[in-house]
Amino acid sequence: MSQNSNVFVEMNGITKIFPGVKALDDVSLTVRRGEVLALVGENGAGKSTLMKILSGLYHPDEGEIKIDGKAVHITDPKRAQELGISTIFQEPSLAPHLTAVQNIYLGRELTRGKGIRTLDEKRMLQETQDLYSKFFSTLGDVQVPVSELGALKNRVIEIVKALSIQCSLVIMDEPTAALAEHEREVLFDFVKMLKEQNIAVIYITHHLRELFGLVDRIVVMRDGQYVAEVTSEETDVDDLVSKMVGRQITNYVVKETVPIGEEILNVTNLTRKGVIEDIALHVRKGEIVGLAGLAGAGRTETVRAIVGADPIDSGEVVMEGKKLHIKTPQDAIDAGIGMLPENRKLQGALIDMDVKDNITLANLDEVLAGNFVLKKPKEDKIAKEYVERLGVKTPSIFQKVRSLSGGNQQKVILAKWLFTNPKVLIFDEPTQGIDIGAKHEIYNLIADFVKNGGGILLVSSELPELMGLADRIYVMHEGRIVHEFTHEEATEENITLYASGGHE
Amino acid sequence: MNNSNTTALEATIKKNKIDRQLIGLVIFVAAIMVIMSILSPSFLTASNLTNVLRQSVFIMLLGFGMTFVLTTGGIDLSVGVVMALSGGMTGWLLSFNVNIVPALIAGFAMGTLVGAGNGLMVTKLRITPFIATLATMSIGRGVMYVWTNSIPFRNYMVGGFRFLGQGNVLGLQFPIIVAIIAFIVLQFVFRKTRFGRHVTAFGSNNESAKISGINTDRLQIKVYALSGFMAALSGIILASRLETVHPEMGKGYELDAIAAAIIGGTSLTGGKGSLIGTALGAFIIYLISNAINLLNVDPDWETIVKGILILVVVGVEFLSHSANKRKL
Amino acid sequence: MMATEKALKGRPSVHKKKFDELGILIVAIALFIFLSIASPHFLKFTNIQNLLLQSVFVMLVGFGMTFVLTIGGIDLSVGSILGFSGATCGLMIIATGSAAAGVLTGLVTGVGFGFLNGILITKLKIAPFLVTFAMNSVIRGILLLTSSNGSVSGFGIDDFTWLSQGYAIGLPVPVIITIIVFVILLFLFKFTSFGRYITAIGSNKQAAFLSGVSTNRITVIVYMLSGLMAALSGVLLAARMSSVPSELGAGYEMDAIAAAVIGGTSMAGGKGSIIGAIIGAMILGMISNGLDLLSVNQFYRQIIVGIIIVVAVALERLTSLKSEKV
Repeated sequence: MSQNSNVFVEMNGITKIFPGVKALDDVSLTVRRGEVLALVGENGAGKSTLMKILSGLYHPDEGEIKIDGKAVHITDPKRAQELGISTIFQEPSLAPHLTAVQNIYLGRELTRGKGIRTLDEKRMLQETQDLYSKFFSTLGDVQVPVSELGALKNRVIEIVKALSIQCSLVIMDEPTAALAEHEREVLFDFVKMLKEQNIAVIYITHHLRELFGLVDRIVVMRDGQYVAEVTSEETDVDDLVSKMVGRQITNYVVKETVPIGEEILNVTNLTRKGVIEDIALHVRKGEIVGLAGLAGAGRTETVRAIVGADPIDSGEVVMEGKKLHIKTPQDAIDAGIGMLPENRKLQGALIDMDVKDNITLANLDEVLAGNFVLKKPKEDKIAKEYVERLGVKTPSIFQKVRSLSGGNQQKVILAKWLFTNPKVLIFDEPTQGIDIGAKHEIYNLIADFVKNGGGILLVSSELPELMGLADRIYVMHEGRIVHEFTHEEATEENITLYASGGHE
Repeated sequence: MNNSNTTALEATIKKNKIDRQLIGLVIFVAAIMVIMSILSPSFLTASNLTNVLRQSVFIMLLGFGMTFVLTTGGIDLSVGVVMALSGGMTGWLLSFNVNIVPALIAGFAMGTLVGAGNGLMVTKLRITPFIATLATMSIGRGVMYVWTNSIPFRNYMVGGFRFLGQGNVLGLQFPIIVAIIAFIVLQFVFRKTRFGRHVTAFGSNNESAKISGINTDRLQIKVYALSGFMAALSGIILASRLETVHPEMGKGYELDAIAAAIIGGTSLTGGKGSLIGTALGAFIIYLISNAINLLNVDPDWETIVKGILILVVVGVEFLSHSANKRKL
Repeated sequence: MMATEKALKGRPSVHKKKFDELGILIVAIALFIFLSIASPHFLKFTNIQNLLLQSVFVMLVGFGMTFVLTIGGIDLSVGSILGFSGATCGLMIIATGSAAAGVLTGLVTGVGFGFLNGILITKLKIAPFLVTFAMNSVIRGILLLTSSNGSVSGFGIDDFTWLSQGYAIGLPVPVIITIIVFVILLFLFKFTSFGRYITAIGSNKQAAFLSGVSTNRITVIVYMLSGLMAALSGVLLAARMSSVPSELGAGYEMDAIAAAVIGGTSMAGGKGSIIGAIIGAMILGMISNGLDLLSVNQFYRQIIVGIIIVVAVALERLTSLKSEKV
């Protein structure tokens, strides 16, 4: 297994410097043919940067890369592909207007004819069919624009695209990010299949539990440096985490018991035709209520409907016994409901504005003299208060949010909502793409909020997080709530069963 | 495309979706035709309709290039001025008795190079296409004034050159034939070649094109150069037709070309373009002005109707889209 | 883009509050000094007055454009709104003999068209570029129909022409009006919730909406403001020329965009500068004025303006790219 002849890629002493930051510091990495290698580390550890160098998107400032023992320069993604390195990127990277076939062959379309070469659609379709049949039993939807397909199908297309390149190494950067539990299983089968075909896989993930039983070696990185290498047999999640953060962290999620009071939020009959149907749920004081389900089950749509971000066809939202008429998020804020949306960068933070501007945005009335003019000193004071209270790591309140880490961006967004004095906070995937240290801080802030009598509705795809935090969990499937679990009843297995419609 | 039974149905569904807007346009044209043939006896004659077609050729040629640019998610505001620069270059050289071949080559080179310059600004200087081509438009128009010193170029009409704008082949006016050939060639390029595929892919998702190994800078430069080339073609034919190149030649044509493309269903945000649509769009614009003309309506109505037409076409698309969404 | 990792590595440098318009101010000053040396007439009082007068019309439209660009929109209809508002103002004066009624009508016309723009953009979700481009065509068409003989004139009553030809505290009235408007708008932009909201919308519309900002309402108001500024400029131009040719204002949208962009306002939204718009408009004015004084053909103006836009934007893009590239 470890003989040198088997080595496919050797990265030696790679250093990459971005203005003001050393993203990678003298990192070396070896990949052998047919092995599954995991690369773990907190955000900012340099994993993605290292992989972007290997896939030709970035160029190292120092160090060399050898493939099959020969030094190479990976100038661009095309060169990487020629060298047998194929990458599945973290973000969805298909062209939405193109079909599966067109996406799979993008950049290296098959052509025919001499002189003026025309696209050989027939052969591309045929070969896609062959590829699919290698991994799937059926071929469907390959000729519709991929924007009309779901997240899993898109992911599969990206995988097929990566595999359609004659490659010896597939890099998977957070491939399970958009996938639900049972969909992840499908992906794991792929990885095993690749291994059987003697194709190496570099697997990057934040979901450490995925690694066990899947990978051969685990390489840990921290702050742009190589930290350790272990096999999955000789380690466990806690050990990995402590290596990643450089200190011991105990208990993945801590559930604090908070006395549960009367009902604050009550939603009945919430319907948005074709999206969500007859949703009924309630949240009580001091309670954390989870909302589980697969991608596309309607969780995000439910919370968006509650706060008036999307129009509804029918439904009633009652706050502390008072019926609300929520038409826009402004109405929800006035009623004491705040929502931290999924996708921090696209919907949550205003990354090109100051920390201070972000914190006061949702409750600007509070810092106005009259109803128009800003009281800047008061604004600064409030922003400072929240930065301290939430422990936002920022040089000043005038810092652009763009330059903060994911966890600190999330804290700024949380500060914005706390400043609106909400009675109920809705979190939609609050810890996605956040490293473990910051995750725990967010959990603590959530706990503080309920301790002070607030109620929380938590949407999360991470079942351990959901089961660890929530007092009750609603499970959604195809736009409906299909079951409600108490904290004690909930297990990963039975949540997954209901989420995938398996109880019927 | 339907070489698989399992996907044949889906393919037809998809085709229908794309064609819906085209069908709408055809119905619109038919409606104008019916109404106009009742209102004006001289409308539905071969000579009148070929006349409309011939008038729309210039916008159509620009619109073809613009369709490529818009499909990448860009825009080219400089095509109007490129018409003048290229037509001017050819005319100017001809007026010095330069042989027609080098004069034409110089005209095309002018357009293509200005287009490539736009592409360089967009890719290498990272200036948004709107601003880059706006600046080119401003600079180019200034150059036209300085170059002509406000006196239009004339006296360049050698026999061969006259044919380009005024000749006939098989009973069809030569500009119309040029437009037909240009359409066939570009439709082929757009649908059947890698370049065309990459244009759509880039407009659909820049990142996706980049990580798929496409040289996106070169792609964009080529697209803007193509737009410049098409503007040169249009400008040179117009120079032959008008027998004079005024420094203001082509002013405002860029907006008509964009209008033609958008009426034809090309998306301003990229990833979706239709050359047939653009051809129809250009035809519709001139059909309307023809109708206004024949009905003795104040020609000032033309700009009003054109503006409203754009809003209606795009508005209808949005409304039908959101109605569809609700149904799903 | 790709990496959530990127964010963490942000330089811990303290973001100093700097005067963003400094670069372009230096360009303006350099141009000013150059012209003072190159032409003995430049620094004359009457010429400076002229220069200011030449600049304020574009400047006013540029103020409105700055707001529009800041929310990530664009307004290509300002040129036609300018012309048409000037015309309705003139027609109203002819009808009533009252300058006040005329001015009011002109301004209301501009606000009305801005409102229409805003409604079409927010309700029909049509791209601002298209809406205002189509409206430009429509409004110009209506103006052409209204002024059937090529212009509207005969409204040059003294009350009205004073607005553009009169002087107060030693300055031409339009300059004073522009200064007042500038102060109001600067305050609006920097010190009010409205200003904060427009930056937020331009910076991230989704996030602003989810934070309870009434994005639609504010968008409509911004286009109304742009219409108002165009109308004000149109009314003042009408007063200056005592007639409104049907082409009045054509091409102003480009100058206004140029003034804003030269002044550092971003075409992508989220970043705007009212002070920058002033400097931008002054630079455009100085170029025209300088070409006149140096007896250079005005044709060169378009070339120079085009080059300045490219250089200004390229510099902004390249510097911001450098600081972003982590």
